[in-house]
Amino acid sequence: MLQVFVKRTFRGLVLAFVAVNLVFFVVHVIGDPVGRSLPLDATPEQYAARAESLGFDRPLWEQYTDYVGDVARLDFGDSISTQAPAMGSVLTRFPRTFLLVGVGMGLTALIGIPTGVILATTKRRWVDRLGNSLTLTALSVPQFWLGILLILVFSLKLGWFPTSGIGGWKHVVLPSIALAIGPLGKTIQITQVTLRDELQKPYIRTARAKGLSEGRVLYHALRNAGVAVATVFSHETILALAGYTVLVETVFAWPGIGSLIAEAISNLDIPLTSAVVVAVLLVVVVANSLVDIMYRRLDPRIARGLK
Amino acid sequence: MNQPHRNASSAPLLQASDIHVRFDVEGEIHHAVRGVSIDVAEGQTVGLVGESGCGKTVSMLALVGLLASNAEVSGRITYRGNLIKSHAELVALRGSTIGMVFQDSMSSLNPLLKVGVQVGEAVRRHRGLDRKAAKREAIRYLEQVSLPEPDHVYHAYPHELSGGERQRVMIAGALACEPELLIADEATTGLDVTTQAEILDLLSSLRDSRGLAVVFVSHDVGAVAELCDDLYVIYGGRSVEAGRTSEILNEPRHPYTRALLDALPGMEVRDRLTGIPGLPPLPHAFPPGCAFAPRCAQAMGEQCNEPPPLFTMKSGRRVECWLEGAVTGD
Amino acid sequence: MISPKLTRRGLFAATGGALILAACSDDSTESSDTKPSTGDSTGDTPGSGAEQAGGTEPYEVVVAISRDPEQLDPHKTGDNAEFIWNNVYEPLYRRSVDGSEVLPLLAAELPTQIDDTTWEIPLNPDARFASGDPVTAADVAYTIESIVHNDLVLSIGDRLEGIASAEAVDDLTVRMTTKTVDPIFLSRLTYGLIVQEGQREVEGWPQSGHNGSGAYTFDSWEPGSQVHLTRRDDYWGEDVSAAPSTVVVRIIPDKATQLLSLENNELDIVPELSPDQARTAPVSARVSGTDSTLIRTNTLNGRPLATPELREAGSLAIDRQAIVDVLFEGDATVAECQIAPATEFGHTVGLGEAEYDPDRARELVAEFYDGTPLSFIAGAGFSPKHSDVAQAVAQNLQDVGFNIDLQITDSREVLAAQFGSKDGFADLLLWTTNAELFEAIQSMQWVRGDHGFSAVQNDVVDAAVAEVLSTTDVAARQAAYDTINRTTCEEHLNYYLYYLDDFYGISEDIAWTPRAEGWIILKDIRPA
Repeated sequence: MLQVFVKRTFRGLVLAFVAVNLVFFVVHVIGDPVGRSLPLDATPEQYAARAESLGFDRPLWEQYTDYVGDVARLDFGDSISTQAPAMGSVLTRFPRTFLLVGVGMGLTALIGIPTGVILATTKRRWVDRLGNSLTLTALSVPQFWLGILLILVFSLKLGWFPTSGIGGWKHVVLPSIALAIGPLGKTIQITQVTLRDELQKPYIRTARAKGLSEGRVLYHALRNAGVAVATVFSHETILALAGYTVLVETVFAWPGIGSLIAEAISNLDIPLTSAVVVAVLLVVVVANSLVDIMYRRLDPRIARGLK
Repeated sequence: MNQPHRNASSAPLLQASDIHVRFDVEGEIHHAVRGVSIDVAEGQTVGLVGESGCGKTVSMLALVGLLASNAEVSGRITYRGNLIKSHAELVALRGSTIGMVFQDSMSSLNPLLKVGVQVGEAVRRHRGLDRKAAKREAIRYLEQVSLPEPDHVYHAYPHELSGGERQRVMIAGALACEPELLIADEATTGLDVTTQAEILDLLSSLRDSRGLAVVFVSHDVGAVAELCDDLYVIYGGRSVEAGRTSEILNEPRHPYTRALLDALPGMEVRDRLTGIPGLPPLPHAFPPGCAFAPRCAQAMGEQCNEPPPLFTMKSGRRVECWLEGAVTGD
Repeated sequence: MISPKLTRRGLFAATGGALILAACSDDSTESSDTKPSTGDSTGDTPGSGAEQAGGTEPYEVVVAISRDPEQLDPHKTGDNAEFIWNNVYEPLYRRSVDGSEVLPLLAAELPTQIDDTTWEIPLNPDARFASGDPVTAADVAYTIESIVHNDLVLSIGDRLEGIASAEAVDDLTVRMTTKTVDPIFLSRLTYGLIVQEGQREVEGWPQSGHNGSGAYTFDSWEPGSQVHLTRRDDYWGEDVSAAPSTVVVRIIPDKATQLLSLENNELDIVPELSPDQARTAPVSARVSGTDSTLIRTNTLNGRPLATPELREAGSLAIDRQAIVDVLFEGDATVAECQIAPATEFGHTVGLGEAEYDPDRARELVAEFYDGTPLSFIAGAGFSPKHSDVAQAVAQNLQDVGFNIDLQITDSREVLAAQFGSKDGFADLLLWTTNAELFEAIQSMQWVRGDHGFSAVQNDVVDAAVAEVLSTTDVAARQAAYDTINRTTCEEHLNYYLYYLDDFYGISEDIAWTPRAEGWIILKDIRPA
């Protein structure tokens, strides 16, 4: 177990190093952070002065070593655009995305898994068909479009929730639903497919032969479908935590990490981009470790290295 | 507890007559079991033998209502003289009255649950015990199937046990329901010879100590024959020969039975080794008459295209073969 | 290459979106009649418009902006948040609502010109910072000096560029010198927000410690979410008791969400709308003709448009009326053949609209065009419908035989290249500029070429631009403008397309008139 963690942490560090280098490379070689922070018609003199004040006039290797050194000490410096500590922005934005992802994935689990179970076990044709077409819709509906639709229906028509922004719990509802809809479709689908598969397996026959209740038999199958469902579910969660929420955050004016990534990159804000990238990587590495632990709990064969 | 005995003439426990099973495979009807009849008396041991795919397992699953939803079962089943009138009544017999042990213990046990839990859950279900009591009982059953260190085994997962241990666990799971009849469906298939013998020993000792009726389903006559009071030879979805084991072994009458016995190495009755040529027919392509005719060395031509008549002898032995008429004459 | 469908598809997309919005707008106008206060319906939403009772009841107004202010330093902030700081701090002069006049604010009266480059400005003795300290000449000198001698303070430094120095003559008199004769000195001062002496050295600045003379104080900024402002009850100027007591500036990136929030009574003012978006708002307001959209041609030697006949063909090919009618549904005005509309200084009377004659254009193209592809760059997000307009124009030009390579981008780098070196020049550049006097001059800089060469390669225009930038004599400047306008028009150096008003969506709870320069001055807002 410990060995796995050491390995994972090391891999995370390597990944962070690569990412941080990538940020530097993209910003310096492809972008023009000095120009970006100036008006379009700035004069060469203004450009030079700006470059000097930001330290961009120094040799590239010097900038690079300084930069990597600072990042290694987790000192990302101040954001170029806000001039506030970059890590501070990350720390205020991330919890909001956590909230959104938490509620969204909570909804996904609460609705998706039972629905998948119903679809896998139903003998009624129409339930199956209805379920499948709803799942397909959930999988194909564009987040942006859905967001606007939710606002139209639940804010404007029904007046139940505010259109956008952060505040009380009511603000969380619509963006969470918009965020959940894709993962929901996937969760229903994977639950349905794997559960149906598991229910055909010999151990289910054994369970039935013991005269167990259908509920208990279902538990047997679910326990085995769990690994596949958890894989899809955690993949979606990690994706969302890594900034996949950006569209939903834009539609609902939700100032989370997704919109911060977008802002940081479009402003070529090196300190902010580095801080966001490192923070996101950290979250992803931790989340992956948690997923590992979860796998070990779900399937003892993984823990013994048999699978 | 019933008194241990091996008397075939005791009161009938399960009577199944003229069982048919039809599968609807995408609109095509597969008639897999075509009128099998089986009687099991209290404490009796019965063997169902025949090649794979001949309908042994399907008929047994039909008896406990474990077939897939595309199967249609007809026939008459009584249990202790009570006619079973619905699928629900059949399901009610499962576990608590009729237990089943399957082949391939690896896939027949849930890979993600501790084996102890899989034994204990039957206890909880049928005897309404709480978790702690169920655990105690589970350990007791694990002990009964002669597993060493049952406390330790309780916490093991199937993949951590050997094939023989798993099979014992599965038997313990079935026993935990305290059934009167145990169906062992190829329970020793895939195990090495020593382990096979151990498992069979275990089953026969359980039968003796608990007065359990046991149905052995096997493609391997040699493995089970000597344990069984009665033997049913199944082929092409029908029981082609049935009767007391000793009689059948001594004097097999159906060519298929003979071929089966011939195929056995080291069988005392025959010392020749004759494989059965050809393959058994598939359920969707059973020939109209005698199903064995295409492979039968003694086939009688035209006649075998008609379903063979049933001959019942004084001893109660039943044979379905045109040859029988030709031999006895009347 | 552009297919004829593209423009139409763009139109469909735009109208489709508008339809959805329009559909809901009808409906919720009804429903908001039935609800006495829609603010309650959404529970804890931050702001929901003005209270109906009496002018002095405290009420909150919520304004939407698309991007984070990013900068808390009033002198560094970007365009979108400029208005916030214009409510917390004040300049010496501010334009009238319609932009036609410059009025004293912190100054007591208009500046007195001492000589060609020296001005004296008397201050209003009543002006007070939020701290209660009077606004003194030392504060003004400190502010101006710190801006013009600080290369970092760019967004504003650019606008105050012509000022060389500022000093306090006495408590209430400031003397400023300009680098050269500066005809737009007064306009420059409308941008210089005055901070107290030593403001930049205050502990925690600019995150905290704001002390402006404006009618509002800066309370808090939640990055990515909102900015809170509170009305000063001790404001030194006119009575502001009927103005909103608190103001929330909400950052909502998506325009559709902004409009829906306005619809849902969560917002009171949504700026920067296109005409069709404005139509979906409960109340829409427009302020006329400050934005002028044009296409700059690249006349550098060797490029196809160095040939006057081809430039003429390009101009003749563009159906400006159709763009205004179809894309803006009549809510824009076809431009006269010059940057400034009739309301602005620098307008030349009698130039008229550019001619539309595709047949003649076709003849010219057939005669003079060698088929070299013309690169055409347009910024997508810089003005409403830029990409639609660019596609329509490209289609017009292709129809008469030009080979057009259209690139629609929202990349600042690509656009910046248009102002940087000659190598980066596209043959055609779609651009929208503020036609108000001061901005027009700025725009002229690229007409003239600010980088040591003349982008238009026209000596007459170059000389006239130099004249405009160096004389304070009104008649002489007008004459120079006339020369610039007439020459760029007749030589087809620029294709002037249309003037587009600024459109705002406003809730039914407030009364407010948009301003020509585009700032939302909160103390001017009243309950409906």
